[in-house]
Amino acid sequence: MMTSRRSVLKAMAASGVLALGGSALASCSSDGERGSGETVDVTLTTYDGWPFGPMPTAKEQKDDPTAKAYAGVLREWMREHPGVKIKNATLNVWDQQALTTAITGGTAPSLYPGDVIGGWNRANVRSAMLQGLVADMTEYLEQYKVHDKLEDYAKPIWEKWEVNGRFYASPWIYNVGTGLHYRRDLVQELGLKEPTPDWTWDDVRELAKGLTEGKRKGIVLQGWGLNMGLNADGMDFHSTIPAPETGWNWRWDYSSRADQWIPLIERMRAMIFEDQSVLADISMGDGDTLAAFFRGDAAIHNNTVIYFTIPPGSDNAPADLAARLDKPIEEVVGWMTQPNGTNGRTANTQGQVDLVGFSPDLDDDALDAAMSLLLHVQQRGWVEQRKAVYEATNDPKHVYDWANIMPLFKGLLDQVPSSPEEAWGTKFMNEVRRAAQIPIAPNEAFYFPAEPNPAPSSTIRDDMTSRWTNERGNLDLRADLKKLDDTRNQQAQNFTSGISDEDFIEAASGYYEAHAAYWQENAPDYYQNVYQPWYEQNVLPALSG
Amino acid sequence: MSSHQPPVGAQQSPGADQASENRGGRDASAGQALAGTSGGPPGTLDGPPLDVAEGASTAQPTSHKLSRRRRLEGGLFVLPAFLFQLSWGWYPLLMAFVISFTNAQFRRPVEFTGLESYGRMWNDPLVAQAFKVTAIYAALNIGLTFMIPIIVAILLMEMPKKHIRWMMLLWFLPLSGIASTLLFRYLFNAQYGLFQWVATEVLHLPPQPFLNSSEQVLFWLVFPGILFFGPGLIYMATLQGIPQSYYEAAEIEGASFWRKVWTISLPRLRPVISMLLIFAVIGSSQAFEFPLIMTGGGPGGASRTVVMYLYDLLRNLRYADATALGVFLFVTTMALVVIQRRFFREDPDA
Repeated sequence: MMTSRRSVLKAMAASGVLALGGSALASCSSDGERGSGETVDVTLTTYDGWPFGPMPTAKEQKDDPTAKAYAGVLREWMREHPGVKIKNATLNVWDQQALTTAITGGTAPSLYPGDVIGGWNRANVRSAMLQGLVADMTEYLEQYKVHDKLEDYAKPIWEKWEVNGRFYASPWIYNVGTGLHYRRDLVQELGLKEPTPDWTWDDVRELAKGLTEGKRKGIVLQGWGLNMGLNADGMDFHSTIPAPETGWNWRWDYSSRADQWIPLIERMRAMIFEDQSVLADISMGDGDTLAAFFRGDAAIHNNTVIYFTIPPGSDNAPADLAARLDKPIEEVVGWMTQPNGTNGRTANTQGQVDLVGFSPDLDDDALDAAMSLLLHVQQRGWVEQRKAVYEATNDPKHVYDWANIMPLFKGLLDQVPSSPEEAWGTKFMNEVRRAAQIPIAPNEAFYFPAEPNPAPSSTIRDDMTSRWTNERGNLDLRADLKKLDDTRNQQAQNFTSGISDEDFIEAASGYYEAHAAYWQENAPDYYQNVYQPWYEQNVLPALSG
Repeated sequence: MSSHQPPVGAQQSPGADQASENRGGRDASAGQALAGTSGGPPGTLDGPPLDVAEGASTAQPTSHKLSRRRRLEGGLFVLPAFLFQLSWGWYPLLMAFVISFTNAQFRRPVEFTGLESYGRMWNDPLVAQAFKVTAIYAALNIGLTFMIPIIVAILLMEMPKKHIRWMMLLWFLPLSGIASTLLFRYLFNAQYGLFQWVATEVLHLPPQPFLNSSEQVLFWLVFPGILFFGPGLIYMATLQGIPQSYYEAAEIEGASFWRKVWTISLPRLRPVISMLLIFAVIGSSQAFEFPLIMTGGGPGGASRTVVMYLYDLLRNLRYADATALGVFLFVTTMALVVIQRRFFREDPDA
C-alpha cells in the first residue's frame, strides 16, 4: 500500500516547504562553482515544484509570500546563471514504475526523489543506483563541499548512502526517525506512567491497556507498526545468517530461536485480541492510523517524528488537536523514541536522510547547475522562505513544520526568527535532539558492496506480519516460523550473489565486528547475553568456513 | 417447439438476404447482368445475348476493380486499429517474452540469461500460492458475480416492467471505482465498520473477521461485485431483445416457466454469456487494484493474486522475473480462453 510517508513528502513538495527558496549568490563563487559567470544553456525539469520549481507567476507571488521569497532568490541565482531554464515536468516522480520507466527511456525529469527508484527500500535503492538509474554525483558533492556543510546529526546517516565508494544522490531532508506519539493529557489524567527513553514493549502494552476506554483504543497500529515490537529484539537481524557456501551468501533461520520469538509474537497478538487495546485492521494504512489518533479513536500511534510537526490547518495536525482541546500542544501530545527490546537491545530509533536523485542523462553543465541550484534552495533559500513564512503568519509552527525542525545544513537555524522549541515545546524538542544523538548502528551498506544481481524479496516476512496481526484464533507460530525459513531459503536457492565469497566474508567479518563494538558500548547486557553467544554459535562458524 | 419455427424462419430470412448481398459485388453483378436486370454496366441492358455475354465479361474487371478498392478501403479503416494493437498490444507482449530471457537491466547492457527467470518463478513457493489464490478468486468471482446474475436477470424479467426499470437503474449507478473501493475499506473494518455492526447488532452474530481471515478474505473481496453486478444489466438487455412471440408460442404449446427458460432464454443468452465469460476469466486472472487497496495481499498472502505478486517483483526491481511471471499468466489465461472457445457453443440455434 502507498505509505503516507510518501504522501507527506508529496505534501511537503506541494506546499513548497523546501522547494521555495533562494540562492546564495555570494556562496557560489566561494564554493568554487564550476563555470560561474559563464553562459551555459541548460534546461532543468522538475515535477510539481520538487525540489524546486520554475519562476512563480505574478499572481502566485502575490497570493503566497513564500512564492515571492522564492522568486526573489531564484531571480538572483538566474542572473548568475543566465542560460539556465527551469521547466515543469508532467511525470509523477512519486510513482516508482513511472519514474524508472522514464529514466530508462531517457525522459525523466532532471531531479527526482532518489528513494523512489528503489521503492524506499535501502537495498533496492542501492541496486538501482548501481544499475545507472541516477547520475554519479561524487564529484559535485566534493566540489560544493556538501559533506562539510551537513549538520553533525545528518552526516553519518548520509554517509551510509555511499555505494562502492561513490555517491549517486544528494541529501534532501533529515529526520530522527520513528517513535511513538502519545496523548500526554490522557496519560496524566488517568495517572499512567509516561513513556521514558528506556521503556519496552511491555510498557507500551500496559500503557495501551490503561488508555483503552469505551470506544477509544489505547494504540492504533498497522502492519509495520506492529512489527516494531519484534524488531526491538532484533528478530530479523538474528535470523539472517551469513552463508558464503551458498549461491546467495545468506540463509534464514527463525526456527532455532523460536522460543525467543514466539513470546514476542504472542505478546503482540495478546494486545490485539486479549487486551483489545489496539485499533488494527488489515485494510488500514498509515493515513488511517494518523486520522484515528487525530479523531481521538486511539491514544498512541507509531510513526516518523515529522507527523508531530504537521503545520496547523493541515490534515490530522496534532497542533489542531491541541487547539481543539484549548491546550498547548506539549500538554496534549508527546513523542518518545522506539521502545527497547526485552533482551536489552536499544537504538531502535534511527535517523534517516532522504535523497535527491539526478537524471543520468544530464551532461556535466546540467548536473552542475542542478546541484548548484539545489544547494541554494536548501540553504539560503531555506532561510529566506522560513523568514517569509514567519513574516506572513507570525506562527513558529508554520516556520518549523515537517522536517524543518532539524535542517540538513549547518548554521541555518540561527538565521531564522523564533525556534523549533517555541513552536512545538521544549519537551518535544529535547526528545528529538536526544534521538538525534543516538549512534547509528552498523549498517550493511557500510561494509558490503552493493549487490548488482536481483535479490530475493522479503514478501513472505511481510506475509507473516500480516498473518500474526490480523488472523484470529490459535495459530501454530512454530509452523509459521518454519514456513518462513523454508520459503526464504527455497527462494534464495535460485539467486546468485554478484559478490565473491572472499569479498563477502571480508565484508561480513567487518560488519559483525562493528556490531560487537557497537552493542558492547551501547547495550552491554544485550551484547553479553544475546549478541555474543549468537555470534559465536551462528556467525563465526559460517565465516570461518 | 414447432411453434417456434415461423418466427425463427422469419428472422433468418432478412439475414440470409443480407448475407448474399455481402458475398461480394462480383457474383451479384454478373448474376444481375445475365438476368438482364439493372445493375450491370451501361450498354449491357438492352443488347442481344452475345452483348450480354460481352457485357458480363466487361463487368467482371470493373467489379473486380471495385472489390479491390473496397479491400483497400477496408484495409485503411483497419490500419489505425491494427497499428495501435501492434504497438500497444503485440509489441509489448513480444518484448515481455524477450525480456523474460534476459537479466533486464535498466541502463546497463542486457545479458541473455536463458530460462533463469522461469526457473526462479517455477521454484518460488509464493508463485504457486498466488496462482492458487487467483484461481479461487476467479472461481468465486465467476460463480457469484457472473452466474448468479443470469438467474437473477431471468427471474427479474418476470416482474412488472416498472420494477425492471428501477432495478436496471440501480445496477447502472455510475459509481467511481476508487470511491467505492475506499468506501468498502471502511465498511469492512472489523472494529468499526458497518458490516460488523450489521453482524453483531442486527444479526446478533459474534464479531466477524471479514478481510482479516485468510479463509474469508477472498469471498469478501468478491462480495461487492454481487451488489453491483454489471453483467446482470447486459443479461436483462439481451432478454428484453427476445421477441415476446417466442414465449407466447411456447405458452400456447403448454411450456412451463423452466421449459421456457431452458429452451428460449438461455439459448438466446448464450452468445452474451460466452463473451462475458471470456471477459470474466481474463478480468479475474488479472485482479489487482481492489485486493491491493483492501488488503495488500494479506493476511499471510491469502489474497495476493498473481498480478499483485508480479507488481511486488517490479517494486523489487526484478523485471525479468516479473515478465516471466507475466508470461506464465498469459499462457494460463490463453489456455483457459481457448478451452472456453472450444467447448462453449455460442450459436443459440445450434
